[in-house]
Amino acid sequence: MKNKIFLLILISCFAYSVFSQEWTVPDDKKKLTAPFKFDSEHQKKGEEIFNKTCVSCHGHPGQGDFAKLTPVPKDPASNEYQANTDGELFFKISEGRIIMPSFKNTLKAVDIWDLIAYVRTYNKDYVQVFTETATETSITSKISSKITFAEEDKKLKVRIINKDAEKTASEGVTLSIYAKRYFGWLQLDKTKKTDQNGFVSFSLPNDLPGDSIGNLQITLKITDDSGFEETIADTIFKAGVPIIYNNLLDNRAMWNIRSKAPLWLILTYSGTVLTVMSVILYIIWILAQIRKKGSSEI
Amino acid sequence: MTENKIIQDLLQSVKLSKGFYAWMTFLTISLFVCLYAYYLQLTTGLGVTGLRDYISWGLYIANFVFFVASSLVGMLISSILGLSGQKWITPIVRIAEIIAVAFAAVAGLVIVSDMGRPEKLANVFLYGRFQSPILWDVTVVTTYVIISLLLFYTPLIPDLTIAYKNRTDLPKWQKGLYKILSLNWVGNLEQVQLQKKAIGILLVLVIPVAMAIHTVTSWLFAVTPRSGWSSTILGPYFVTGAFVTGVASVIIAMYIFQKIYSLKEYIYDIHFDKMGKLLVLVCLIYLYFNINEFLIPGYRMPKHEAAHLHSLFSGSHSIMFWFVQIVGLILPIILLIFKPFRKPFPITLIAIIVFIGAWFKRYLIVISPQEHPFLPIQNVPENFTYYVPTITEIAITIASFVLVLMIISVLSKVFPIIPIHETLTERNKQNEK
Repeated sequence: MKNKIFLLILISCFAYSVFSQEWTVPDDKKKLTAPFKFDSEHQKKGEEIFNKTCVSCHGHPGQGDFAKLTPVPKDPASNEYQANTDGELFFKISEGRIIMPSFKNTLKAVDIWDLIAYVRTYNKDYVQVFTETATETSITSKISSKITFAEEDKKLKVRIINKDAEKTASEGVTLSIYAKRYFGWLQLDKTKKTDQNGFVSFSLPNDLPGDSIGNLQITLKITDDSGFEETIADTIFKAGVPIIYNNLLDNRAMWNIRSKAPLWLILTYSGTVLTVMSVILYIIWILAQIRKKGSSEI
Repeated sequence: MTENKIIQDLLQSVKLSKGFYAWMTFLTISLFVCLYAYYLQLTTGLGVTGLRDYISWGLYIANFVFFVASSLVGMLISSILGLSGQKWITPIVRIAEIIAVAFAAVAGLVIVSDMGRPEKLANVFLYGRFQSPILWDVTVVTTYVIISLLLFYTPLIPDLTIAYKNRTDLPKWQKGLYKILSLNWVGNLEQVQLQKKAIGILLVLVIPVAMAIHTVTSWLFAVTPRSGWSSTILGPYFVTGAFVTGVASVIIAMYIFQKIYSLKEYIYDIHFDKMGKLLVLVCLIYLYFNINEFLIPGYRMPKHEAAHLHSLFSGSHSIMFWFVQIVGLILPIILLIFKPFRKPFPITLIAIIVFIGAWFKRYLIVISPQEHPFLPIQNVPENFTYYVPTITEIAITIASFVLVLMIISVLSKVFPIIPIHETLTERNKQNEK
């Protein structure tokens, strides 16, 4: 009995803490800053993404029309929301919690920063803290990749080589692979680092649905020190299970349009109507016969 | 009784008397008053009714179901009883057929009154899907009206000749009408055989069509996933309910015609007695279906149907529900078992109550399930959650009853209400014996 009560208290404490707990962000992530200055171009892009992705739950900033869910989706214009640092917002949008979805596989890092640029326009006191990196050069200009797919053991092998004169292998590069799905990108296997020879190998699941011939669109992304992901390769491999999607409106069915009604139904309906109508016509013919057999002198 | 006396008796109602004109004037004025309500609905839209997003079928559809139900009696009396050799039905067959024609014809119009844009009616035929029970219903109602008209007309042919020959005081147009419609009837053997054949075919044909008309009407509801509608016995439940309404309306009509046309020697106590027994029978069958329809879901009380069932058993519809079941069904069964209650006057009163009860029954069947859809009603104005018919709606519904009365009045006044030819043939047969 004692144990039970204790367990009950423990469970209720846990349940309470899950819903009321402050959303803690690791310290190193808190300090993360955007790799660019929030200008009107970024804000405009951020607004587009916000209206497409966030507005259904968070509502329009400052209008309080957020969805009535638990925990409450915060109004981006509220002080509570704006008290987050840029790094905290980046973390929360990327990771998600309870009913807030994780967007790290749906949005690119630059998209999330654009979003933050947009929601900051609702904070007059906001001053962007950002450390401008001296050279903002793309990673793809420095390295090249080579991807091979081994169909027998479903492994995707990647080799990263520096674009320097000696073509040395690039060690310790963080890589992830994603497959394109209906909604966003699905990460396959884990995020991995290249070995001393610049090699990394990802294993693919056996049951991943592909298109009608089993093709999958796979992208290879590299993550830099500031958490930025950049696509370095985007290829199609025959790595999925062929799936042929049947359109439910292609065949004759009860729910289809008139010209695609089930044949048995058309035949039953038309057959019955024709039968009854011909009997009625026969009756009218009999009535005409009655008239013929009589005489007008009555 | 001599042949001449019978002919004179049965033809004396065929007269466009002053009383008839007064009655028709009254009906016409009532109709126009009610049609003004329809004009309002046509110009402002269905917003003038109590219909809203959730309860979108109201008084009109309930009334449509009731009219279709009442029209089924034509089949019951002339076919089922007629083909089984019941001789006593002869004087009431035509009354039943007139009721069938009137209710079935107006039922189609009632559907049109439920349309916000009636000019789009043609789309049912232009774009109607074979898969839709609405197309089946439109087809089968139209067919039933045609067959009922033929079943009214074919036995009438000899009577038209009799009326033409025996009544010289009729206006010219009426005599002309009789002459055209009597199809040169002289009563020779060939004509008699042809007529017998036509009636025989019609009597058989009308049975499946009449069953179909109300079964398909029930499918309009039964194919919709809703508590209270999605029931496998809804077809027979509707058909047996229809017989109750129909028999009650024939009893009322018999009483009225017996009184105002002084037909005491043709429709007498034995007819009321037999009809009373028939009413007990159809009520018992209907009661049996009611028990099945409510006891089983009420016993299981599945969560998604509970709201609907509770509203009937003990909630907002409970008074109407128990009135319909007890006063409109169980009480008439008990009373009509006793012979004194099957005398003309008491049985007519009981029939009126059954008739009213049957109307409210349709109201419950159509409206109450819509108040409890499977997906919860939310974020709508409060008046979307219940249904109260408006005055406009009630007036338009009254108009449909006025139309039925007008059709019955005209048909029963222009044509002899009791089959003369058949009455004569039967009396001759009896005399021969």
